[in-house]
Amino acid sequence: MSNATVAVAAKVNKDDIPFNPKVHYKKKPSDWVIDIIIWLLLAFVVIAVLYPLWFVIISSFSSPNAVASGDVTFLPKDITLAGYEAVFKNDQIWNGYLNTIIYTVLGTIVNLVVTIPCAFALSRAEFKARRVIMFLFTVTMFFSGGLVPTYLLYQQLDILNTPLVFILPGAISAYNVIVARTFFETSIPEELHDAAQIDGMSYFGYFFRIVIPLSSAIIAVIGLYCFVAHWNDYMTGLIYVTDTNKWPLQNVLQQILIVNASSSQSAASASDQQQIADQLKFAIIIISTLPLLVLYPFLQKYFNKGVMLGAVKG
Amino acid sequence: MATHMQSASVAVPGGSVSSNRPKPGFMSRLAYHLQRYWQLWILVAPGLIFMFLFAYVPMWGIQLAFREFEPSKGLTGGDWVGFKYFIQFFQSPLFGQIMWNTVRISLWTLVMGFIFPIILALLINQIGSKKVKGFVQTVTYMPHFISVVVIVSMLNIFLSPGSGIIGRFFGDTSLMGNSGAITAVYWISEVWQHCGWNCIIYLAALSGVDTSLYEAAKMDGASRLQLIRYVDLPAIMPTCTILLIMQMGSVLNVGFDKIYLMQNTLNQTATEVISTYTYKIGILGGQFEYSTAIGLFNTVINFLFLMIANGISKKVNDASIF
Amino acid sequence: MRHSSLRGVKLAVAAVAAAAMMMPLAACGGDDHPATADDGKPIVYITVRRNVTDVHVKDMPFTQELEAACDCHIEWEEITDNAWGQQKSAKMVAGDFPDVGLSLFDLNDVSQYPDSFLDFSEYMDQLPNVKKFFEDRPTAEKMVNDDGHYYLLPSDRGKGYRVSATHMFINQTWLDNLGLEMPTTWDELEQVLIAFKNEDPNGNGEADEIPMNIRDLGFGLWSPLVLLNSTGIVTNFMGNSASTQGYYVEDGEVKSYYAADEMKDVIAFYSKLMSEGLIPKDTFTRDDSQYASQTQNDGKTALTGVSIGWSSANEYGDLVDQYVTLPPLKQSADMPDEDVKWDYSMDATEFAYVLSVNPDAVNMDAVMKVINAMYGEKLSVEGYFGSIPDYVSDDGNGQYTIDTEKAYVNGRKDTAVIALQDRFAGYIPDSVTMINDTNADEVTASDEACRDALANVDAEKEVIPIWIHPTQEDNETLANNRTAIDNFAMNQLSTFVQNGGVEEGWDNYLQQLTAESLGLQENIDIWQKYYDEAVGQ
Repeated sequence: MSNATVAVAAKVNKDDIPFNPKVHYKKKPSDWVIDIIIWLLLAFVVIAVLYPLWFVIISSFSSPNAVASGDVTFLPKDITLAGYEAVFKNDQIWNGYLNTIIYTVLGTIVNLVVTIPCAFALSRAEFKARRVIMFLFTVTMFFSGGLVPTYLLYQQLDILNTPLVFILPGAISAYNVIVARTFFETSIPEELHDAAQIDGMSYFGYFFRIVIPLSSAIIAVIGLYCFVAHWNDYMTGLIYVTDTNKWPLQNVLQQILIVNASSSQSAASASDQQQIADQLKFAIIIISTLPLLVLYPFLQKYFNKGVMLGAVKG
Repeated sequence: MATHMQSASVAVPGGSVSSNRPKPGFMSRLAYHLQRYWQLWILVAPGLIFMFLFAYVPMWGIQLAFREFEPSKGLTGGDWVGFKYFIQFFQSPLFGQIMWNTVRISLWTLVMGFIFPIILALLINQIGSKKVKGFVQTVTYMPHFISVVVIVSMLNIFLSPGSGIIGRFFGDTSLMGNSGAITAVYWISEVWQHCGWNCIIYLAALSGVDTSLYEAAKMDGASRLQLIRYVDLPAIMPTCTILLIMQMGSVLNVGFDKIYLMQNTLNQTATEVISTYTYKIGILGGQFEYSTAIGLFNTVINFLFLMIANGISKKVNDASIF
Repeated sequence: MRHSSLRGVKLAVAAVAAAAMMMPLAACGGDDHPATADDGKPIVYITVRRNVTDVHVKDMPFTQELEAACDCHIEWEEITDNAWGQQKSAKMVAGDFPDVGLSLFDLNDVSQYPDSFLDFSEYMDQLPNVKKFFEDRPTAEKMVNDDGHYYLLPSDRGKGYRVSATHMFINQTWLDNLGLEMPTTWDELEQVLIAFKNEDPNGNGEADEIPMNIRDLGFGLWSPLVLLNSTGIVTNFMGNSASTQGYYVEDGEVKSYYAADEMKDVIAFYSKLMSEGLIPKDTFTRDDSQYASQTQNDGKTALTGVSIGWSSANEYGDLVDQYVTLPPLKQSADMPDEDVKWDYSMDATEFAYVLSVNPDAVNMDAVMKVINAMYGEKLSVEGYFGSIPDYVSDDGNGQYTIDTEKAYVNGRKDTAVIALQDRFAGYIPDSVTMINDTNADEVTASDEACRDALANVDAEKEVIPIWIHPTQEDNETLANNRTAIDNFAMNQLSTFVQNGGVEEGWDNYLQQLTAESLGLQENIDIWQKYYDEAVGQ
């Protein structure tokens, strides 16, 4: 029987179950009204969000003067590529991209390897130590020693100015542990664990062979959270890394922005520079977020592999 | 849906268990615990190690809040002054204003920032077509990646009186300079920016809904609204509860960057919050110990709120963080 | 089964033990900079705060000349303003001070970490160039003199920057187009602005003119509050002077700008201008890019009549030819000429706090050689303007010419890319004449019209010297009170300008301002104490 359970669970995962199907279902009149309301609301949301996004895009191509004076509303005006030129003529930009990809990929892997098993163990109600551990994790969401002790710690660990400083300190976040644990508690049917136990399976076996295959949605979400956090991480490079060759993209972009904005202590910089900086603000967003656009299709794929409770309940 | 059933009598890998033997001593209980759960300990071990190393080790710095800062003696080598800096903060002429601003802005943001992602997730979940759904979701989560600097310049441009796409409807003083409106400007732009991103976790939870539940409900003649009410909502409820508890822990948090960039002389009596005040104190006076004390006060209040929310939730619907 | 579980326990114990062992191991690391290079020459580590890093300092011929002078190697580290702002406190606590720091520390840092700053007074014999600098320029010496000790060295960028940092400009072309005279009083200015608003001075047929444009209220650079000088009160809105915190001196008595009747006049004037639509209504809410788009527009059509800034070229970009400096205005026509003052910020514009040395530097002799070389004439010029002969030519007799083609790159009109520019440590004596220092030339041109008013300032009696530096403890009190005072008063003043009501609201405002809890009097007393000490010297 228990072997069968595992088989069912595995099979459930493989099948691409159509999401929220509306098969053999005749709509009632009241549903039409609801439908219309839903679509109107969604249309409103999409427009409210799309316009500012569009504004960022056209502003990155328009003369900063036109943007600031409110002349840019729906189409770019006085098209110029000065912002993008300023970015791409900088030879550090590609190095920055490479660094960011390395830190992000490695960092996310470390995050997942540490977070997911931890969250699973803490989701087991029979694991009595979990309350204390959860409490300890929660405390870290609030209390921190502050910048200076952290700097001194990194100095002691000798990870200042190394790629490790991007990867290790954020390896686990209490927030992600809590979110993942909640998922394991509520979305993985407890019956699976009972069956696994009867089957003589250890926690390792249960975790790796049954839980992980059923948890693609939460792994995708936590992975996304970590990925984006690493991708956007700007403070780490700023505070702990002085070697600019090790800087990730965000720091390189900020550097370009600062160089182009006025830099003198004493008010002595050319004002054309400020204008490029104004345009750069927008171009930088496009350059740094474009790669993140491809994330969603991945995510959606994993979201659609739901867990089918009925399959094991029967 | 998922019932938390665990029975002590179920055989556990690695050893048989008898439920009614005499209460053993600590060491043998520990040995028994380890023997039974050592695999779980291994699974949490890496997380625990990272947590202690990177979160707990630097915490010795907190004592600075109770000490005079004397750099020559190291970070925490100065004299112990107890609650001096806390009292200094409470007695500051700005204390009342800062607390009121902080609570007002953060509560609005917290409540709205909690409700809207749930609504959006339920709405997106109603979309049948995969393509449309992907489009809507991608569009709504993109604003999350726009930097605060650009968000604030867009607010300035959109709200600029006369020429702004929104500002032209609001008289000749910008909403950015209106202390009565600035809270709304803050939370609406917050919701706008993070709503799509924050609904992802709910969509993940909704994706776990047993599709047969929909079938069954439809067979029983449930309407669209009823499906949402009786199938979708319960599915995301545990996640909602946990996130709400965590959000209660940020009741005194107003992120520094955005509010600081939004601040101007016209609205500053409505936008001076704990984080901006700490920044000014720190920058202008280089007063480590004072800003640490304010930060600690902030943290303790937040933590208390989280504990209370956690406690209530545990009693009321048996969901809690710890 | 039993076996496997036992093995597991052992494994777990081993893992924990291993993790516990890793910690002290990892803690062994530390930074060890070698003191000497392979060739036996000493190494000097210099960190400079610098934003533009297209050309690194180590690649500048300037560095080779310094190395030749000290017979040592120099390892440069460059750090941006932004990064330094974040790292500074941590590095200081960690004791992470470079041998030589350029533009890293100020006097506050010195008073917090006295043991980490070398006292140069004991080394003056090795620093003849610095000694000469102090003899030539006593103000520079006073800036760093702390009871006979010098923990920081200042820099002097020369007579080209002996200017006020703030100037008011007016569009001469518009005046000519409308046949108007240069205004000399507030009332005349108002009349001119009204004409600018109504008579289409830029001639494009649209009422798009902004008669007057101002930045936010405050006591910093280019603040509209420089109009206080029209009333006879002197400002010094640059650097870290008492004036930038809101205090001035009159007849030996320290006072607050906030509480001055003259402030009320200035605010009332601006309020009137705004109510008449002569100043944009969104002045206090727009961001900098919107301001720049109004002063510079598209570089062809001027939109702004009057504004306040550094130099006309800097303020208006391509439209610079239309603008001239508006000579300091009188508050009213019946005022004697000698009562008109102007922003007295020359010292803060010319000098800066730059150089510090770590007393634990290993190769102190080499460090001193480096510093002495930096303060020599030639290397000072090279540090600020670029290496000779690559970017600057030495014409003899103290004259140097900047090759603007090569030196002004990336669209900049300064040498920040190829030299240290204002982050340099050095002394450019009055005997040096720089040709093609565009920035200095422009700002000097803008400054000419203010020279008479500046000459009216009695530096002894009307200016709190910039070299006064309160103790750390007093600074904390000043800062804590100031945060509360600024929060209340700046908000009130800008609300007065925006919505009017100065006349009716002023008494109430004064009452709240001087409430004991805000600490205004406490701050005044502190500054009075230091001012009295300084004057008594």
